[in-house]
Amino acid sequence: MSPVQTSSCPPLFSNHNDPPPSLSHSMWPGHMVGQREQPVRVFLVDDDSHIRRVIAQDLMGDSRTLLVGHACSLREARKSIQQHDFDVLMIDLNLGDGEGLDLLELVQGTHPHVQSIIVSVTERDEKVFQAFEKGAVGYLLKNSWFGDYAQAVLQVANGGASITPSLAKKILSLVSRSQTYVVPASNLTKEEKLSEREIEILKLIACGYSSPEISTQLKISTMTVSTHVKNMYRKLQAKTRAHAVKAASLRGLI
Amino acid sequence: MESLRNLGWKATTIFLQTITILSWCFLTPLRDQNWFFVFSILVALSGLLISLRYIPGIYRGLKARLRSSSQPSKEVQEERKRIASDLHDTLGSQLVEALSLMNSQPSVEDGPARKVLEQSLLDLRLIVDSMDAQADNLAMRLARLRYRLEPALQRKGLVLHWQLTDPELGVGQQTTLPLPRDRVAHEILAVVQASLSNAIEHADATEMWLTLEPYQQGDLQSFGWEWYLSIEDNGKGFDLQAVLDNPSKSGHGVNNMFHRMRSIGGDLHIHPRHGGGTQVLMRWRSEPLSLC
Repeated sequence: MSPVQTSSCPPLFSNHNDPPPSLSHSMWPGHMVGQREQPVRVFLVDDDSHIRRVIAQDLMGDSRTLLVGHACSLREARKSIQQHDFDVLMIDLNLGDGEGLDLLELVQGTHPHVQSIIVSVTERDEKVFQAFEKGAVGYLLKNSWFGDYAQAVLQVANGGASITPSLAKKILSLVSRSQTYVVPASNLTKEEKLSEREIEILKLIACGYSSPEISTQLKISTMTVSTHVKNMYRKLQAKTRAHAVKAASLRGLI
Repeated sequence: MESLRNLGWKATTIFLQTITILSWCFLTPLRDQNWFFVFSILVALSGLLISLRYIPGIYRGLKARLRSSSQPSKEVQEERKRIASDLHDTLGSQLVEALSLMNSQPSVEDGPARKVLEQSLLDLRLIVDSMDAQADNLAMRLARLRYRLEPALQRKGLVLHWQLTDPELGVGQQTTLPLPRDRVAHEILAVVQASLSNAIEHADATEMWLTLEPYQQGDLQSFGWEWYLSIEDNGKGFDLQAVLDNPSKSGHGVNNMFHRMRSIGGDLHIHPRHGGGTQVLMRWRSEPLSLC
């Protein structure tokens, strides 16, 4: 299987730079999503050709993931996303010709089953937070150069989510602020309020502990840690939606 | 500098103020005189005017002092972020590309070249990390460093054991001592980066341990220090004295580590670890919480 090339972007691989041969992943359990005969399909949107090549190489080097298409601009992505079927969207929010956030909304509408991963240079981008409120479940720093991209794709395809220490701390401060000052904790519904365990996991992530270390410390599986992170994102989105509805009704819009 | 005329006026006013106050104290008959009352009010007003003239200067001075002691301005931070991302996007991806080119042509004798490229990539990663977000506390900066380094460590088959205390988040040991930020955190992080880089590149270690903890009250080993950060590895170790005597780059690097810890009033020990390898121990006292 070879990656589908979109029209105006430069090719990802030239003759002298072929993707490395597929690695064997005999340890990958049969019940997980992402098998050799049915790999996780990825669509990539990034305006930096170097990074596109690095990510493509990583995804094609792993037999459990397959890059089905890529785009180098928002306009290009809008066009080709309609023509492709895929499971995971990897997207850089800072695209040359517009906001990657708009694309997230578009994909939510046209491909509701798709999981989105943000690829960003910095952890301090305000847009990253908005992306999670718009349904993204993964977040990767471009600086994590080696071997992270395929792992992150497999993680979100299997119901997990990825997060960075800074983002965890930001969510924590947001939660403590809203639960203390903005909305009393008792007013938050169960769908919006983070559980003690989720806050505990966020704190450990913010301190740099890895998922296996957190799972050992809290005596849960690594997959459970990942699921907790995904639930947190879901609650964050529910809260944002609830606040939006409340704000709209206050303004007399509903 | 103030002009001579200004100084003359100021001295005259202060002299008149002193005479007036003394007259009010000792020349009681003068108190009933209307002209003396009006004169006193005029003298008091002139004193008030002079003190008001100094307020803008005091305000400017205070502002400058606050600016020099607090974080860099938003513009400077934005600029740093931009340079970091430019560096990363251009140089970083080209280094990765060069490495992948080597992977596609394994026949080339490229061992040393690959090592240099990998080292450059690691260094670049550390530079980008230290330029991005300097206002975080030490625990957050260490966490971010680990997040960025982990893929490189895994690739090399290195295991990093992590033990951290962050009183702000309530993780690890209980303490009321704050973690350093800004310059102090920056210097400690630079020593951590140098230690990790040494362990990864030169010590041939397979395992590393990073511990950040406060000393408990009454701990005899603290010797008056309040926090310690220890980095241990199980590598081949090195002769500190020989490295320090060596005027080459490595000796310079280790000297720099000592210099950095001294500049923040902390202390640094590098010694052999029990069971082989090296331990780098940094110790410091918490800064008192104040504006300046």
